[in-house]
Amino acid sequence: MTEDQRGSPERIASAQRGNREALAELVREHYAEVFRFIARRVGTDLAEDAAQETFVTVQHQIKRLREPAKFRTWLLSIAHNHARNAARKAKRETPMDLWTAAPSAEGATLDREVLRSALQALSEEHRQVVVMHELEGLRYAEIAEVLGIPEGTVKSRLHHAFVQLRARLTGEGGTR
Amino acid sequence: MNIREDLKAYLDGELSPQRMEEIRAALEADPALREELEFMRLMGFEIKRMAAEPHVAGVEGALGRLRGFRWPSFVRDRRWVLAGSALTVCVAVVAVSQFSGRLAPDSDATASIPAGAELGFAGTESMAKMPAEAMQMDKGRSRSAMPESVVPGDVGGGTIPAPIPQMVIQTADLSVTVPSAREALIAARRIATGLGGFVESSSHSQQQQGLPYAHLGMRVPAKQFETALDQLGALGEVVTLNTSGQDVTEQVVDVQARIKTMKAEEEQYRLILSRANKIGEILEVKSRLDQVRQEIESLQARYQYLSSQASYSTITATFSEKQTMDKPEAPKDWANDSWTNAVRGLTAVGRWLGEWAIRLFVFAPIWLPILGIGWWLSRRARPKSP
Repeated sequence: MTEDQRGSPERIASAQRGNREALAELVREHYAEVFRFIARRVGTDLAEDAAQETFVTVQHQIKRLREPAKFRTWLLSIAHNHARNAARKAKRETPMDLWTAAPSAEGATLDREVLRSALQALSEEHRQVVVMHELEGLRYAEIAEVLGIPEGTVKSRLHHAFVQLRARLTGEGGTR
Repeated sequence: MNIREDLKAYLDGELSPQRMEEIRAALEADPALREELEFMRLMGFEIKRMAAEPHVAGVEGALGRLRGFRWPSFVRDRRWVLAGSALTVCVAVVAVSQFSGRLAPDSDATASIPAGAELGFAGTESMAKMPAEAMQMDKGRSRSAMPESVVPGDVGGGTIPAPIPQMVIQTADLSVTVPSAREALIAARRIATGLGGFVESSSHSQQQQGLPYAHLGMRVPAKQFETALDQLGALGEVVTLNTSGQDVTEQVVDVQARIKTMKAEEEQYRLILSRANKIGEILEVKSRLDQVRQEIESLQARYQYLSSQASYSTITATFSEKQTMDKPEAPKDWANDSWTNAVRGLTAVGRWLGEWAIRLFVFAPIWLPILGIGWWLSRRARPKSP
């Protein structure tokens, strides 16, 4: 399957008409991404159930999706809601165990241990946009849609997050 | 606009072409800015490298959940399940309570029906300042309950009529305001005689306030009862009208049966008397015969009284002149009335709530399982991970 075929409008339209096989294909295509997206927010132990809930919601709501082209963003919005609910139930913030702190290579510019603690020191909302942009590869507009906030806010949060990271890294002697 | 604020967006290619050009120019001119941009690039690079890849699990579980049994959408939505359950419970409670209310012999519904509605004139009805239409309706209802005919049998001759028609003693008490009490009294006499009845008593005098009033007691044939009320009411404005009826059919039948029995006994004594030879026997039988005869005559008198009462209705009319009703009314205590009405309303609401609480409690064996099933269905609509 090529990247272009993933979540093709025809398949989405077919799933919207009630074709279960098309829906199953969409699940297979997007499950890993959704799982990782959730796992980075609530941890792998809660991610499986939340990911499954996400696709159950997709099954119920897919007929309401008006723009198949925005399927991915719509899917991640649902995943974001389920992740948030799971985090609220578990009273948990973004886990840091998915950030390895392996020793930096000899001559590396940044100290990973310091960067890890700097990421941990970020506020939840700042860390959230960093993860979405740097790891999920979402564009600003997509992050804004998933989180339901203005695009300018996404840009501002990313800027401030990186300023804080840099301050931590440079202030604590992370620069080499 | 501050160039530094847009450095990250520049790095991510999220700026407009014009802004990109501006940043690029600033970067060429400012080495510190270039160093800052490079640091950001490095941070992004390290963040990506540091991120561990979570081990994906559960895709088959997700597919299994989607392939699993699906309730209809309205069942999957817990709110609809609860709403449907609540509606079902309400309908069931209302239906069962209504149904049981019909079955109950002494339910409130039955008790609230005026006796007169079921028994015709067997009850008493009071009307104060009633509209003419309501009065006509009431009379129509009363008329339908009137006996068609009351035909006393030849009891003295020993023939007992069968079957006995319904016999009702009807009485009415009527109060009418008229322009002139004296003229109304004269007109009422004419009405009584014109309908084949008669006047039992009449009087005309002054009230304590000095206004004249008249009183009339009259008997009219039972068939003319309604007509008489109509005509008397037409003399002025009806203030009060109380009608009552007493069903004496059972008493009449009882009296008739006893007369028949006593007559048979009388015949037996007469036969014994005709065969008696001794003076002592003759005197004893004659004494018994006299007692039986007295009892028969008493019963016949009773029978005639009841028949007469049923055949002729009694109407008592009071005519007072208009002015007596036009006295200025005392100022109403509106605050007290409002308070009383509010307390009554609160009591009624409290009683209503109490009744419903009792009904809900009594019918709990019906609605609790329904609610439980609804809850269970809503829980089941969210299948667990396999």
